[in-house]
Amino acid sequence: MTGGTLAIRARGLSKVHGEGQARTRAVDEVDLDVPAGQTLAVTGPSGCGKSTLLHLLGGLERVSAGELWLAGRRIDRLGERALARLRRRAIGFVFQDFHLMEELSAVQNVELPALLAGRTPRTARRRALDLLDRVGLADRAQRLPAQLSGGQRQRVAIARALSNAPLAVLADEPTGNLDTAATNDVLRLFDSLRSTGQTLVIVTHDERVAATADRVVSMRDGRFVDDVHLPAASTGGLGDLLGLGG
Amino acid sequence: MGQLILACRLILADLRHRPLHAGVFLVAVGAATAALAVGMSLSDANTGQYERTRAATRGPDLAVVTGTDGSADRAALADLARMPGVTGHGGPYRVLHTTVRAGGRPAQASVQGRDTAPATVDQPYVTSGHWVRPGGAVLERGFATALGVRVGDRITVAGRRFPVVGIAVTAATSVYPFEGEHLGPNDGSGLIWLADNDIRTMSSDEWPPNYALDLTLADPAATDAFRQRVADWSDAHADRSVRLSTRPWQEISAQNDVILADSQSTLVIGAWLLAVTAVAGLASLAALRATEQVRRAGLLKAAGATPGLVAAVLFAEYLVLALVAAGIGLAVAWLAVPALANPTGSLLAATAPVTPGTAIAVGTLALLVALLTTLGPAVRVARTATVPALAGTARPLQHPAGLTGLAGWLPVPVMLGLRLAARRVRRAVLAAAGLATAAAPVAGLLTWHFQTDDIPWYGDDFIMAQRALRLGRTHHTIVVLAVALLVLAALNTVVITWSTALDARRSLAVARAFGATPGQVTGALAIAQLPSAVAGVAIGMPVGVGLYWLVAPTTVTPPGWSLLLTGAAVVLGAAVLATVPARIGARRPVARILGSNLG
Ligand SMILES: Nc1ncnc2c1ncn2[C@@H]1O[C@H](COP(=O)(O)OP(=O)(O)O)[C@@H](O)[C@H]1O
Ligand SMILES: [Mg+2]
Repeated sequence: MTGGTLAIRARGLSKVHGEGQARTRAVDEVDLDVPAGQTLAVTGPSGCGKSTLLHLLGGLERVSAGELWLAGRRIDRLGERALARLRRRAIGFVFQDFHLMEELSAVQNVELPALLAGRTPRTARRRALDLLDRVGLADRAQRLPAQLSGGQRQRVAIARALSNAPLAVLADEPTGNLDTAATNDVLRLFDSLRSTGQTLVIVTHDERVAATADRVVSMRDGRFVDDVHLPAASTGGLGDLLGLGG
Repeated sequence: MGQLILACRLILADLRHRPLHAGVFLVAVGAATAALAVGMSLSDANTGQYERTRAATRGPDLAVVTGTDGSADRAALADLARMPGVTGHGGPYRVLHTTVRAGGRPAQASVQGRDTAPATVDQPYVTSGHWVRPGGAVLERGFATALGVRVGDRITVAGRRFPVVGIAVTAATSVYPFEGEHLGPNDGSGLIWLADNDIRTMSSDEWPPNYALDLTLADPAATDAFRQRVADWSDAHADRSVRLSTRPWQEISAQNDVILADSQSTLVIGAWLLAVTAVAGLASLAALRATEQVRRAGLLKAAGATPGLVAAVLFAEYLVLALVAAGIGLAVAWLAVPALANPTGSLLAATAPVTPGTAIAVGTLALLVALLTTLGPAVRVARTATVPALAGTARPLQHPAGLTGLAGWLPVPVMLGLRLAARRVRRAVLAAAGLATAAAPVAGLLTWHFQTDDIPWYGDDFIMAQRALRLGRTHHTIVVLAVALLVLAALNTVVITWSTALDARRSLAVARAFGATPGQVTGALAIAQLPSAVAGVAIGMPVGVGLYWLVAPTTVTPPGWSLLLTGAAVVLGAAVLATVPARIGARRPVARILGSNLG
């Protein structure tokens, strides 16, 4: 495979936290290729380095060693500002605890990355309303986060992640704070994203969430210990899964 | 464009959701800008009011009075009025310096004899009643106000009773209480106009009148040159022993300013003290929401905002507030200065336009506060990497090893308190700075108190001398500033103790879980404020005395015991204030704090 068709490519990717006795190799020489359009689930026990890996992929943290490409462009050497610009256009983050701006309305939260990227207010607003419609919250556009349920907040966060039509959406335990019904809403949303060809990396320790992916990598102590491509039939089982969950 | 809109939106949303923070900023910085704007505008406003009064009364360019020995005569003044360069004159008028009584109170006054028709030069502007008529007196407005006299009241001049028929202002003398026209003891004199005939009957050979002449000149700006010619001219008439005292309008105007001089410097110094307090208070207030602010920044950074943009948004928010505060300060000055610049009411009111100098100084002060207030959060945001920022991980604490070792020997509240104080050095510095600015005017007041014993009281028991008047104004100014600074410092102490209680809540909860009582914890939180309170007072009191000395170099330094006692009182006050938020902090249930993940 060449770098060009890959959304994400990593070689010997490492991240060391702390110094001396507190030194932890959170991510330890990981090689990873994520083709465009793939939904990748990263699983593993707590503390195995999943979040750190995601932060590295999204340029939220600087790598300690290794090489990293996003859509064929080398990004491990970029500075803080360049990484910020890159995140704006190429990455959409979804966090476990949503991280919405409490003082901005749903639609204002969704259009935030578009405005940061320099889109005109009118374009940004139109796109934000489209996205809110897509996540089923068109009627909640003017609500503040505090006036939304957890599941609704996470859907707003997902819409925000899609604001600049990013190369990859990186989600860190997106259902960790949600009840079953809300989890199913979010999974359904990811499923529809996958069908549009959106590259998606989901960190989760929830087997049900992992089961909806094209591929599951398992981590332990900062390394990949397993890499399974799920057959289409299995992933198509989301409907069954939801049937069970609901 | 999009970024600009976003920045505006973030700023507006933040202001809307935290009106208290914005309100405190506006009050604190508005007080500082107002003090500065008032301090810097007083002199200009006073000059402007004199100019308006001068225009409205056809004020003289040069006021001339004959010598006190009465040997000069009217002929000399008549010669003077015919000198080249003189374009108009009023007088000569008979003038007596005497004691008047109003409502049983005696006061010094110059009494001028006037025609019932208006003069060409110096037509006093009647603000109530009407102009002099035989048997009826007109009082200068500042003098009338000080005496509490109105039209229709009666006054006694040299033993004769006169009804007050009018009240007027003039530009031919300085403002009350400097209206003595160089006769007798000048300070503390008022001005009265009577019909000339009434004065003539009062004066006698034993009590000869002086004469006053008002001149307008071809070149009003060149009064100094003309004055020199008058001096040469009277030297040439040495045989006639002519002794003339001259006062150009510029000197009259400058004398008006004297009452205000100390207040102006006090206000300008006070403004900068207020600004320091504001920065200290706002920084501690900002520390209360540091975690939240860092999280917000992390979120923006995760969405692709550069650290520069995040800092710019922070700064822009304070800049907006600072500009509003500057506007408030200038508006307050615009409204208050006409009254403040005319303390005795001897001038016609006039609003002073804000000069570019004042606007720049006020803007600079507000800008500095905004910059310094942004600095803390901006550095904090820049220093925190995005991931820990999102996680809301608190800053690591500083534990000086020596203190921790020493702490084992001390009683529980003192040990806990010192540890708390040592944990946040920056906060301690802010608290010290805030208290120092409050201690300074307190020391100033103390110094003032030790000056009052030796004020010279001229003649009468109710009219204060120039020095007393100046000291009186200074006193008012310092009291106002001290109150403002003490209120801000008190607020500051409460906020700082509260934020100490908040971010030490886990360790204090642990201490309580292991047996520390709420009382000990309250004590610890109050004691934690002591080192910075002592430092603040130790710096602030000498600074206050020093500043007072700077404004009034003849100052008597207050005795050391009084400074120590006052300082101790301020420290005690701060500690007592600190117990209020400390008690609330110490009463929170231990289990809930330890159970929460907030750190
Ligand atoms: N900022 C940090 N400083 C020090 N150690 C860290 C930091 N972030 C994560 N770690 C450590 O790195 C390891 C991996 O953490 P993380 O990526 O959060 O794991 P996961 O998301 O799989 O639970 C853990 O041992 C964690 O303690
Ligand atoms: Mg994690």
